[in-house]
Amino acid sequence: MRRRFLMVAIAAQALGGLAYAHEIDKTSPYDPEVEDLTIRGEPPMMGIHWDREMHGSIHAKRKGNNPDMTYHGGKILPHTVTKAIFWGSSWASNPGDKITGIDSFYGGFGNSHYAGTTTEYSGSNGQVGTSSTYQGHVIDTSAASGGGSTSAILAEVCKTITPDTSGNGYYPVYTDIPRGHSGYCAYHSVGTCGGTPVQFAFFWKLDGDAGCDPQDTTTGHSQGLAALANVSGHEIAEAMTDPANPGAWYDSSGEENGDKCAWTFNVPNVTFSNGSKWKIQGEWSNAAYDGGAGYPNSSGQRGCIDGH
Amino acid sequence: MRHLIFALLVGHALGALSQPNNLPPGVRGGGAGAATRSVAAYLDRERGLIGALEAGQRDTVQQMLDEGFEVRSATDADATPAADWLNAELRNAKANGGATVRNLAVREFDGIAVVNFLLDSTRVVNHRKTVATKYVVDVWRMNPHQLLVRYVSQPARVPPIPSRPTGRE
Repeated sequence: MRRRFLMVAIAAQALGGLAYAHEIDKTSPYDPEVEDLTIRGEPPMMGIHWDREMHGSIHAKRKGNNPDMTYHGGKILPHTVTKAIFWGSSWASNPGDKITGIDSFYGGFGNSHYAGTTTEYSGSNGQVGTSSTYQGHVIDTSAASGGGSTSAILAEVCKTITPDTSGNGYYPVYTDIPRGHSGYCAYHSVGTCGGTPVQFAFFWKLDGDAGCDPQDTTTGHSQGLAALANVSGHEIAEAMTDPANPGAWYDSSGEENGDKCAWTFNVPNVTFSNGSKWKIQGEWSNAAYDGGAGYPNSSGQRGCIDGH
Repeated sequence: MRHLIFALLVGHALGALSQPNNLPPGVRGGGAGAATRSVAAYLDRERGLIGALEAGQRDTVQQMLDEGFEVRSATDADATPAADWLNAELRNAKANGGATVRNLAVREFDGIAVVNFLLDSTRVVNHRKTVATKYVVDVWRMNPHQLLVRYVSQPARVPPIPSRPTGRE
């Protein structure tokens, strides 16, 4: 009796696993007509053989000619409540001009023309606006982590700030860790602190980092601050228009408004609402592209606006 | 009896393995990154190559390839010459549904850039679109910018296509 019961239990377990496997949605998030058959966490299939024609096979996705971003059903940030976090032991002794500079950056971002580059976009909770409250910064001199774990950055955010109850809190974390060979200068993400939604961003230390350098020669900022300011603009603009899951605004390649205009600068610098000046990339505007009013991105698509 | 209990435990463990990885508590999305200058530049180049193939622009593609360009993979001891590869790509680009690049990374050395990425290719099989992913390593000469060699493999494991942008598509 007991043996029969155990066999039934094993069979039920196996069938349960099969049932679960069938529940996995393989639909591509970028195209609902596409079924994603990528092997996920499974050993390689036996017997795969590519013929000569399949070597390096690439097939351009037929996206049409319109590079505009489309809406994916998610929320946006109608306004932002920002508090910067400087994480790492060196911030107490050797901040240079970066802490005061970042304070000035966010202090002047609200109601700037640059913030206005995002206001054509709306989401399930309204329209992106230029209003932005800056609550200053906090310094945590404990040893910082790198950017490899978003959960470690979120944990730092939840440790150091009290999240804004509106859910529009944006918490950029500036570490004192150099980028090394990572392929990104910064990123933004989303999570919760005690149940309250928070948007946050991670930044490497970019001093002397040519791969993340906007090559600012006009504002007088240090190279490290200029680099942080440029990617800070990139990240907050993306967080405003595509902060969470489900996503809001990005294109058919998955690029957000900052990605589409990365490393393109239409003017030597942009003046913020507090008079501070920054060399900062433009942001993608569907309206500008459609109206032929933007400047070209690195692919020559004239949809970037500089917010000067 | 002991074997049955062991089998039950193994079955439970396999069942757990079959479930997708959960994000860490409190984290609902992956990071959406600002690509470095070089990652952004080579995303443009790889997409440009795909776009030229899609448009059937043989001359444009050939200008992007070094004279000695070839493709190598683990499944064939011989390299595929540029002309054979190009003919096949132009034919497949018409017949298939497209491709996207993601998880691109770049290492730049003295005049050489080594670029690796995942290539999600869409094909139509029995009237149904399917996506297969390959791991590609391209070696570019930086002056003039031309593709020297491509290495292609079928990855044993790949991260799932993200549910939202990661910044490295």
